[in-house]
Amino acid sequence: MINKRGTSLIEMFLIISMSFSFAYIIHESEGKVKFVTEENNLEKIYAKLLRLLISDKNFVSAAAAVYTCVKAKDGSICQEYPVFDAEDAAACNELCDGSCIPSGRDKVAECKIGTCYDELEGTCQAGSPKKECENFEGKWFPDPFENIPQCREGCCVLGDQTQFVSDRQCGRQAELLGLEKEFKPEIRTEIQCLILANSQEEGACVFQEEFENTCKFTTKAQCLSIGGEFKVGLLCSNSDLDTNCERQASANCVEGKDELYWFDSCGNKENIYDANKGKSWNDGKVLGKADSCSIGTETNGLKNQNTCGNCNYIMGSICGEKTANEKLSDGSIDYVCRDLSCTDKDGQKRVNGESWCEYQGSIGTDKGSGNKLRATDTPGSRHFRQVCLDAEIRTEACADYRNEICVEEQTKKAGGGEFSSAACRLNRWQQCLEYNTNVKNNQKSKEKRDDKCTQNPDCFVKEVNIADNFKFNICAPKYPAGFDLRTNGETAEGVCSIASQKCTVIYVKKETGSWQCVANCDCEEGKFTEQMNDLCMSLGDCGLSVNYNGDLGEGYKVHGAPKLSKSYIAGISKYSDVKKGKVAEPGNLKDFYGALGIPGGLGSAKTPEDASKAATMMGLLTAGMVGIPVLAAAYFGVAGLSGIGITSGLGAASGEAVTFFGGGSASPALGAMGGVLAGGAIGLAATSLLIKFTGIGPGLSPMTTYALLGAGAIGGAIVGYAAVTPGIGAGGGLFAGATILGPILIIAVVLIIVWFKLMGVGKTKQVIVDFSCQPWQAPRGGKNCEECGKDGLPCSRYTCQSLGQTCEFENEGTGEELCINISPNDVTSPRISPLEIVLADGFEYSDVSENGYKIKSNVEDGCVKAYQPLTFGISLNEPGQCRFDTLHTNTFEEMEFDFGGRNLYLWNHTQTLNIPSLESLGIPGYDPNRRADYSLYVRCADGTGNENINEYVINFCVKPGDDITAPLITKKEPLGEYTTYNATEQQVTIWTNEPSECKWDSTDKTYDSMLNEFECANDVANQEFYGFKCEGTLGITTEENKYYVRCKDQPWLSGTDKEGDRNTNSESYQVNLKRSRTNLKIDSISPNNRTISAGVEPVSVEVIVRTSGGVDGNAICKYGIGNNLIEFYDTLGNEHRQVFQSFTAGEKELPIVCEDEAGNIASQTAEFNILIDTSAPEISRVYNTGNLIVITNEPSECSFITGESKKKDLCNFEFINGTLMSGVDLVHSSEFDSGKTHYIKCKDRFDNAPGACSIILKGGA
Amino acid sequence: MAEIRNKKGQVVIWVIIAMALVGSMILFFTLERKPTILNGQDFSPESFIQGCSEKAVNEAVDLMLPQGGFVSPNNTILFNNINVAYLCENQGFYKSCINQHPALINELRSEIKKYIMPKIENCFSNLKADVERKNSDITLGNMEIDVNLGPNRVILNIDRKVTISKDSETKTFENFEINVINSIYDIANVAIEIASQEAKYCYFEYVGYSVLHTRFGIRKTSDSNSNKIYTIKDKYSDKEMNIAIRSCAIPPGI
Repeated sequence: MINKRGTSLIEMFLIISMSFSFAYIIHESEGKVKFVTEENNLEKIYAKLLRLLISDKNFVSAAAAVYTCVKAKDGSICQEYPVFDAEDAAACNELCDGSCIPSGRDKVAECKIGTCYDELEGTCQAGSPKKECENFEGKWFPDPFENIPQCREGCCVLGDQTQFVSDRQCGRQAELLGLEKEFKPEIRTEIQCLILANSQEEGACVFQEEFENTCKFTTKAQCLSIGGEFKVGLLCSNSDLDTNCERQASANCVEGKDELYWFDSCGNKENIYDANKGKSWNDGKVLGKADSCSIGTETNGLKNQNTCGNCNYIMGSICGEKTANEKLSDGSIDYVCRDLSCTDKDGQKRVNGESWCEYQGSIGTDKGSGNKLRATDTPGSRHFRQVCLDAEIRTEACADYRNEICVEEQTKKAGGGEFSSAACRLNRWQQCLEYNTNVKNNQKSKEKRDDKCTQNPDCFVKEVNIADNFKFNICAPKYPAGFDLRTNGETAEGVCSIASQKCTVIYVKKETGSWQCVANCDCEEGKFTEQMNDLCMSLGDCGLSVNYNGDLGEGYKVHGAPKLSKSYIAGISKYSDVKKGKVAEPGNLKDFYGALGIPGGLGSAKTPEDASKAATMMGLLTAGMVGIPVLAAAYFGVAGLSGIGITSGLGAASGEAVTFFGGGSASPALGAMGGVLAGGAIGLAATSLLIKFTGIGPGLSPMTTYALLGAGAIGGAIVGYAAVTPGIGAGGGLFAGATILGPILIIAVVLIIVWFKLMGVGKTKQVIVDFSCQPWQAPRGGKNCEECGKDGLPCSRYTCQSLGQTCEFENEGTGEELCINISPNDVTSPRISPLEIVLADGFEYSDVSENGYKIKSNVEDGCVKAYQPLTFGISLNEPGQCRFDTLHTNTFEEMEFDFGGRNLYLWNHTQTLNIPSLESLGIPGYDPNRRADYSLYVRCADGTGNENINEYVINFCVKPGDDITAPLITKKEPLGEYTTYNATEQQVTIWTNEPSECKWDSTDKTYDSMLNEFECANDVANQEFYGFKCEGTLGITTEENKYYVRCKDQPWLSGTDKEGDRNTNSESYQVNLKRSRTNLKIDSISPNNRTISAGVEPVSVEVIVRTSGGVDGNAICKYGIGNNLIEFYDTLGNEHRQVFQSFTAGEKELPIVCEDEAGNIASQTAEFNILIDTSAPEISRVYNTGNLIVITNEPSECSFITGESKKKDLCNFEFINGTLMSGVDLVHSSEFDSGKTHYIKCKDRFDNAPGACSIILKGGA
Repeated sequence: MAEIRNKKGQVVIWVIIAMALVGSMILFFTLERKPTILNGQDFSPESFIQGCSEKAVNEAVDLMLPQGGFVSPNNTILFNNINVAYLCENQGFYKSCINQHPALINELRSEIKKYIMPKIENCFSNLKADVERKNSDITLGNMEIDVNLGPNRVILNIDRKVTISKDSETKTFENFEINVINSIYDIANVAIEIASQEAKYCYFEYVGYSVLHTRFGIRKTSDSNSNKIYTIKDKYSDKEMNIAIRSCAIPPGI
């Protein structure tokens, strides 16, 4: 019984001690030595991205408010201005002719955007503001995309010309030209309409003039209008007509026609020129283009240029005056089919209409350091599209700053060779960065990000793999954008800073007394700087790079690792050379057009595989993190292996022991064995615990660790044996010796461990390797300014400024633009003076001279307290870059730090400095009267490169600082109180203004009584925008959960005799977490499960979604197009609206996902069918009951006119001018005059009407 | 003897006839010359006004086309030293442009009318001076001008009563319809198409348009501020129109 009880106790002890051993291993692998893991890096990156995406003033969608100016003083109409503060509002009012309306354009009645229809002219203008339209007598329709019946185009025949215009426009043009209106609504495309122009029947119009037969070659309608006799298909020189017109008297071009024509002696156009006159004359009959001579072959489009006039613009030739090289064999003719092809700068022949891309250096990605891809577009470079049109190469610049890229695609030509088509299209570089913000803390999410990134032809997965614990992926732009540093350097700094990262290298003190690097060791190598610069330059004009002209510019700082090597720089420099044949991919612009409400390809859009996929994409405003498994360092691998080995062994042994004990054996031998095993386990566990608590483990070699654990286990085993074997001490010398050996071993182990501890074995130190990615700076000076444009491509402001700090683009807009050096004779370095405006309250500048100044506190002796953050600044007499150091240096270049951490050329520079401790300044002690003199040495350089030779000294004296203020919680996330409907816990993050330890509890109590701790990152290197971050997971147990948080500052004083100096919050910071009462719900989607009929294609459809539940029913809704979810134009409420402007006919599926502030998600897919009715109503039956009854096949309105005879021309009457028949459905009636012909026209509700009559009825019908 | 008498008589008759002929011819020419001020080619009021108006219209159009369709444009951007009006503009970023002249043809008509009104008034003043210099009386009524734009033409309807009198003869003109060959309407329709497409799609594919509509040659120039200038050339008349667009602009950086 006793044994059993004892056995059970040992078992329990074993279990408990083994769990300690495991705990030790686990603890060691993730605790004490903190690695800067991938998560840490990414978290910072994403935090930066989010700040960038949501805080920039330029990002209108993120603006706090939008004001609308109906009419500005400069005459602009209905412009929106982002307003962040009263200053912005005042600026808006200043611009506006009147006052700005504090509302978006769509909420201002006068500025509602629709289509303006000019009822007189018949023209339609998309995107028109209501009031301005009506001011000019236009009729305004709310559809902004011209999808209204009035704007539907058809083919208007005007003499021998056709135009693809609206019905009214056709009528207006006919009226002004004095022609009969002939509108063909059934012709739906412009090409069909243009073809119709060429198929107009022409012929000889014979009439008498001065007693002889003469002729005009024209259309039937025109012939009839001049009273001639029309002979269709005959030339005026046809001998049968007996006119005075002689055939083929001359040859000439014809306005509006591609070809060269023969002309008769009366000046009439004949057939297409052919040197074979007889063939061309065709016995005086009209010869079609297809039957005329052939100008060339598939391989040589102008083979017969000297004999044939059958030019074809689309195929690359047009009639024009002859030249020395291009002429007909018949020298008397001054015209010829002119070749419209071009020869590009590489000597390649380009056909008319062909377009291709021209770049100013390398584009896209290339392999960089570590064989990882990096983006290569150089600062200052722009993409261009070149077009061959009318034998001339035109250069079209894509949007500057590489906001557009030139994409190119080849198609095979019929006769061999390729036809190139290029376009400047939007560069979706921001989208690449945005993908990173959607990543959550799991591998799947990371993979999704990588997938999206890979699928987007504008992005690539930028890998950084420097050390086991410093590796991560980022979705980066393949064509990084350029920046305008002179007007918006902050944005550039924001984007570049994504690649500003610190790698923490860990050193452990070994038992030999030396420090050994155990983690992130490669961060101190050159490859750290190289890979980080590769990342840096892949984000935009950041880091070290060459401009498009091959001149090197700086944009990085590194501390703790070597600078970039010459070979690396040589590799970068080649990117100013164009890589022939490399072009950007066209890609799929569905997402972009989706954002404009143009759902290209939406008809085939499918619901996302699962709602969570869509939900993941909603996380734009949720700081995402990627979960990369925490990897054990080599050093931990040793510990882990030994631990596993030992514990496995223990497991086996204890298993046996359990079996033995479980068997209930009372055998003394077995009891002894149990004692050995139990004692061994205890010894092992105790040694483990000792190693753990002393913290020497990381500094021990595997051998030493094994030895200590082994010695502990053996010592324990011996003691265990002695304990369960009564009288063993009296049993003999060997056993007696053994019983003594046990405790000796244990004591020895303990002593060794204590000795190691005293020696500092296992201590760790961190070395922070810091890479700062800064905006790329153009080379100083302006010696290459004039290179701008010398490559034959247009020079722009951006391109010019990339060539040198003093290069300026002058005369913009005058047609005489120049890139010039604005300071060619500047030999003076910047003059530095104090910047008053930024100096913190309670301080003043004193002893100001041209060599520096002192900063004095207004309290006591003017010294500044240690640890205190102090902001001060310098002002320059010209823009310049400034640096400082705490030690004397000889030159600007030698100086360590950028003033204010910025490398921009600015007038004013501001620096915030945490005043160093007196200890760090070499004055330790407790004397409150200690003082130290502290100086910063500053130099600046201007754009020309003139640097201060003498240092400008900023000096202050430092006195001991005493912290008597409790920490302040500066921010909490999530911002709101609500959690999701099914939440059981909530991750809460707080930031404190100083390094602190924080605790939380569900009841309000003192800091020390609180039970739960936040995990706080208190290293100076961990300081973030809002301070020092602490994270905790708080439970959601009821609908309303209240938690209290308190913090204690100066964590470094913990456990010291100065513990009492720490300041603790006396009042709690309250965190309220409310569970959403219901889940978010999509109540309705309109349209859904129905058919929408329209008379115009494309169709504008407004999708309206209503939400309820969740926090308060308000949510942000997005619709899915392509791979992305795009926010509704009007959302962030409980009604969400989006107008789609270009729906085509067919079944539609539109995935919709809504998310509220708590993260509740609701999704549904809208399904609807679009039916386009473009057919005019048909008359299915007509009868006379005394009244005329007309039956149509669809609800319609009919009107008619009457005439004397069955003349088709009368069918051109305007519907509105006819007599309206009664009935708006299928049956229409009116009185019937059987003596007259009735010309009837019916139109449906979409204004579809036939071009001619629906029916012509003569009496008796 | 009787024969001689007869012969003399015949001669007299012939002389009389000749004199009568000469007289009537003199009379004819004299009478014809008298109302020259009304009907003669040099002084035809219609041709006078036609020529003068044509000049005014062409002058207006030549001034308007390079500046986006306006004589004195507001809200412009400098391009080749010319202030070009924005036809479609969004001063902010990311969103498509707002049509600044939603009924452009109407505005062009008003613009031409505004410009030519004083010029045509001047034409009538000159006509009046000319007529009065020739000792005729002329009275001018109130003037109304209607400007219409059509394919390849600007049509002016000048409604003004002009009465010219000399001695007892009076001639009255009431309506002058003047057709000026000009392609402003055709070019403006291309400009409308560009502005509408930019408002809808933030893009206008000018190469495709140029290939399809061989009459027009379109060039596109863009600057660092996302402004686009389209230059539309009518190859038939060699007239060029500039228009400025700012749509879906993207700032440098985010």
